[in-house]
Amino acid sequence: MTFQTVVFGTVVVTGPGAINFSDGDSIPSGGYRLFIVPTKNLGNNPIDIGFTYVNQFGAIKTSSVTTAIAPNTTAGTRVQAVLESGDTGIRDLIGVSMFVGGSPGDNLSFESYNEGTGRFPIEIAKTDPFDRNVPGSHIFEPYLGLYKGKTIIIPNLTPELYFSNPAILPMQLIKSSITEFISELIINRGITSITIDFSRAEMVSWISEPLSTREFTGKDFFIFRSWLESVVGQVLSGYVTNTQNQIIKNAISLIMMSTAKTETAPTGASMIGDVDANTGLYQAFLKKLIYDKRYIIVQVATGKTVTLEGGGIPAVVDGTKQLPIPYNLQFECPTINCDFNVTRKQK
Amino acid sequence: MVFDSGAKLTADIIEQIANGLIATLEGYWTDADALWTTVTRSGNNARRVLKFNNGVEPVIYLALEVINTHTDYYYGNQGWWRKGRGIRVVFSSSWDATNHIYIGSTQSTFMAFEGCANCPTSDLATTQITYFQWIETNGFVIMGKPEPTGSNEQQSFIIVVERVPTASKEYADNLSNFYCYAAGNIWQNMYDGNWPVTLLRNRSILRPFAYQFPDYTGGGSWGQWDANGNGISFPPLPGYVAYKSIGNGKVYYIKPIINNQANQFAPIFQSELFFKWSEGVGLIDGDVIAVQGQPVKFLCKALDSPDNANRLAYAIKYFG
Repeated sequence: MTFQTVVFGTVVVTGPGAINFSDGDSIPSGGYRLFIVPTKNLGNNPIDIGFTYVNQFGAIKTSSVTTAIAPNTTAGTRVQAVLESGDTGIRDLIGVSMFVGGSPGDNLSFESYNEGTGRFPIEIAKTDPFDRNVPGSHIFEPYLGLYKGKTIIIPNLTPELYFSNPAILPMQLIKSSITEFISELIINRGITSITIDFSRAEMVSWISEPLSTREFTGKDFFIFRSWLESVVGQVLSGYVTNTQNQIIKNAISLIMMSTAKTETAPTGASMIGDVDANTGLYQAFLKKLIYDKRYIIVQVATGKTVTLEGGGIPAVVDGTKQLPIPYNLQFECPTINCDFNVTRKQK
Repeated sequence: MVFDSGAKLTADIIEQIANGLIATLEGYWTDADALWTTVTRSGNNARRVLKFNNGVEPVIYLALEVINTHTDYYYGNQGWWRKGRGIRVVFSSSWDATNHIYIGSTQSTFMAFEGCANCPTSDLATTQITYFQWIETNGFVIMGKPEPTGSNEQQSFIIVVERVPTASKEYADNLSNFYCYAAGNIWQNMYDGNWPVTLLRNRSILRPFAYQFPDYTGGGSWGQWDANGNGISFPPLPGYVAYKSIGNGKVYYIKPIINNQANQFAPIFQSELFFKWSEGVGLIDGDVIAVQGQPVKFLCKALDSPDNANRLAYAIKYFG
């Protein structure tokens, strides 16, 4: 059985009675005995130390009795800390409440020992003793139906002890190797006849590896999407006409709107272009959008302006593809020069 | 939706994944070929193939194969082949029910976790893999670590096969909704474009059927390749990919971004099954991250392998 040591905190002595305390891990429930462990040999001065801690019931306590550590205590020696009456262990070390003595450079670790979530190997398959000099496949006896296999000892190798991870879980595997059985090779290699016990014990296979028991809240950073008002487009030109394809004169400005929310225009987009009042020639810069509404502003004889809505051909101006030039645009205008006789009704 | 861990033979692992996907409630996954089973463990005979069809997205076939022959997978002009055994993932657009093999558009990666540099590899029919695995209707993610054998390039590995719903796509692309990501702790991938493209090349990302990376067809492109920025992006923040804040103890991360090209300029969706995390900045192996405001949890795993101390650190879906 092995246990993972919980280091509740550490101390570095900077001078007599002066320390730097570093907080360490804690456990969520229960309580472990607290041990004071020098991580290097102590100096010539004795130490008295008391703690503020969270006991096995979750209550915060402060030592009324200090724990003494002798001078020149060797590294690795465990001195069990004296806790308050009724306390059998701690969940968390909050700090050092009293520290007397010590020599600069002394280092202490406050940690658990031999307590916690135990881990032990479970034998999952084994065989009877067998003679490795006898050719033939050797079948594992399945244990709990979890494993069934075939093995052979590679000649001239000492059986080895394998570990999945020495720091975490013992995975004992007394073996030479697992491979396909080729009897001829064994004989040819001149094996010394050795009878060994083959056993295989493994932890990680059958009991899920314990989690760290730590759980944190995660926050996912989004990749923010954005809209790109494309600056890649085309310059379009042509004539503004009525629906009979007659050039409209006196137009001074062209407005086109893309009212739909699109991938590149979140709330619609508009374009304003100039129109030559004498020739009806317009020029406009189109983005890669579909413009579904268009207007021209026409200066009428009275000096006022009127706005005409697009009609006829084309139904929409599709700026997402290359358009031919000249590209005439039709508008709802009854006359060529739109010279309306506009009068304002007098009150 | 189920998390599982333990140790199994490779054939049993793909059997569990296949059966797990078929068992999902939505019923999108079905067994595509009754002759593809894991009964025979020798050679490349342990295999399963599934059909995904939800009636809306393109039908796709997912083949999971145990490559248990001593297989050349990387040459690299060093004068000898790297050998490997492991899991092959194949996406195909169709299935030849007569010849029992994938046809049509096909993409593949061979994750050779039982690897060896110029030496024998061990039988996967007897090699246990310690694994950590999540299966849901949208796919699976598995991290695994083989038990020590006589070969000298055994790797821990991660394989992700994920479908992201159409609604989560950044734009309509008329492609499938799947991708596959694979990596080892020694080699992200070892791709040998110096030799003909085959189904035995080790690729790090498949995006059916837009591209697979790496996918060079000869002419000296070989070596270890990193998928990051070549189809999948793991944005750092800025020095680490995911870490625990020393301010409030929360974990901050960005989901991996999958692209529609083998670069980092065509994001199509983000993964919901896994993300990378950084060791040494507050997180340790075994930590569980509960996503704020969601029932989803991720398990942090960092796996070294019998032959290399490099640690493969990914958080995989664990709950929700």
